[in-house]
Amino acid sequence: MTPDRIAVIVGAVLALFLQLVLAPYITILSAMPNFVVIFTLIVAVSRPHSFGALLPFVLGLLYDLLTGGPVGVMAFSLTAFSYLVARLFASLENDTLFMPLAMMALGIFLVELAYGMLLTLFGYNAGLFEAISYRVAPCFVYDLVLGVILYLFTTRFFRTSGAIHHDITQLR
Amino acid sequence: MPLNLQQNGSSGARSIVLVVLLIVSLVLMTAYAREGVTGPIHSVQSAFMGGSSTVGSAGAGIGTATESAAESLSDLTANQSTLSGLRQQNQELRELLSNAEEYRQEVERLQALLDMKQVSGVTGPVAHIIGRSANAWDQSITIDLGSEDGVESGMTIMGATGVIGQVSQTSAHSATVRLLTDPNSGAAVMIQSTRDNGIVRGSINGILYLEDLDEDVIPEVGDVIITSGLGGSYERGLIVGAVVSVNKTANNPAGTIVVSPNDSAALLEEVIVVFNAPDVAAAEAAAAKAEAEAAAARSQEQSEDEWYDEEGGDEE
Repeated sequence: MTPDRIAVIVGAVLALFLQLVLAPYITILSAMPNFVVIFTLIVAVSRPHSFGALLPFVLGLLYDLLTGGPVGVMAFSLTAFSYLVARLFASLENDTLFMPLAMMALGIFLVELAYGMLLTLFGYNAGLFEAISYRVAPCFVYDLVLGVILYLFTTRFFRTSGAIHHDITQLR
Repeated sequence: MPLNLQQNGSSGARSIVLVVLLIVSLVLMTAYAREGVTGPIHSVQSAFMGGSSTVGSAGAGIGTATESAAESLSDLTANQSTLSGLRQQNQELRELLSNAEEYRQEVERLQALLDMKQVSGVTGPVAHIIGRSANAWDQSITIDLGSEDGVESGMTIMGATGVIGQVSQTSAHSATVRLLTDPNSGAAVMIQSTRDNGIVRGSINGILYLEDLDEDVIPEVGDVIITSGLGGSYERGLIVGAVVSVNKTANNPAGTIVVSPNDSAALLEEVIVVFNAPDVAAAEAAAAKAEAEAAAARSQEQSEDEWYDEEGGDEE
């Protein structure tokens, strides 16, 4: 097992742990951060060429099982949209600082929106407008702020460990 | 901006994996929505949540542990001269004071719960809240009693001032409680003074709404709302809250009625799991019988007084 893969697994476990232990206690009004979504999107834009569907699926499924939401909803949302963002970012070949952050923002928004829409479809008692204004939008903003901070931190970590360099070398 | 849309063999395999996993997700979603709370996926989820509640409860101790570790580190790196007896004594006293304050607050909270049990006549154990929902969309808490302690899905949960929710899932040593303010919560209730039936529903913004009243029923601000027991989801006769806002009028029968929730779940640390509520129907029947007997006695007394008055008049 490569050091990169170990780092990703450790990060995934840490994200789940933070979601269970820390997230419920740092809510701001109705917004609760989703460390699982943040971590997955960071990996998606940090290693777009090697990013597969298994990591988001397993993390999404564990999120569903551990937090009590309908099983499969986060697994579906996270798998579909993190993979989409990784492929889109890989195809853009733009390694400026802005583009990964924009892609991460897009991914977080799409995952939160898809999760909310699927919940309402599966019987969550709220209208779509209410769901967007009371949950999707506040959670998106919270996730994005934390995501940018963590991305800048992890990019430095990945750069020093050579993961991004390795990823770009694979592309060329 | 250049786009590199070329796909190689491995990305083709990845796409297949993606499609398979998406299909698995959809199958799980559908199966979860169709099966009941005793279905296999729900059971697996309960087991996972039971395990995660241990991790969640560890979260409450993390702050204390971090503080202690920092203090220990500070002590280790400090000069020997700074660790004087006075300072140590001061530290011990502060710890004692802190513990005493913690115990005092706990006694106050437990006394409030005990008072509520005596007033409402419910029976059931007190449970500690050991976790809160880690999902922004759910309003739920986790308590430290589970199926091995006799807790079952559907049991009513009360705070110090009344009903706060219902057990939605149980594992061996913990249970998840869906709060009344959750959008998927609903409780059959009635207005205590008029006995009109309705339903209190939670909402995504955390407000309780009183709905499904008859069109001509317009409650007043301050009316107490209690559970009606209809549908069997909640025990009967327990206080839910009070009406705080009425937007419904004769001309606007679809207006909203807001009910203040009993307790803020964020501030709760202990709750009562209601095993048995008092037999409200029997109590009401007994009260009615007692009232009828008293009225009959009063009536008899009055008629005897009148008879004596009449007799006295005749003698005169």
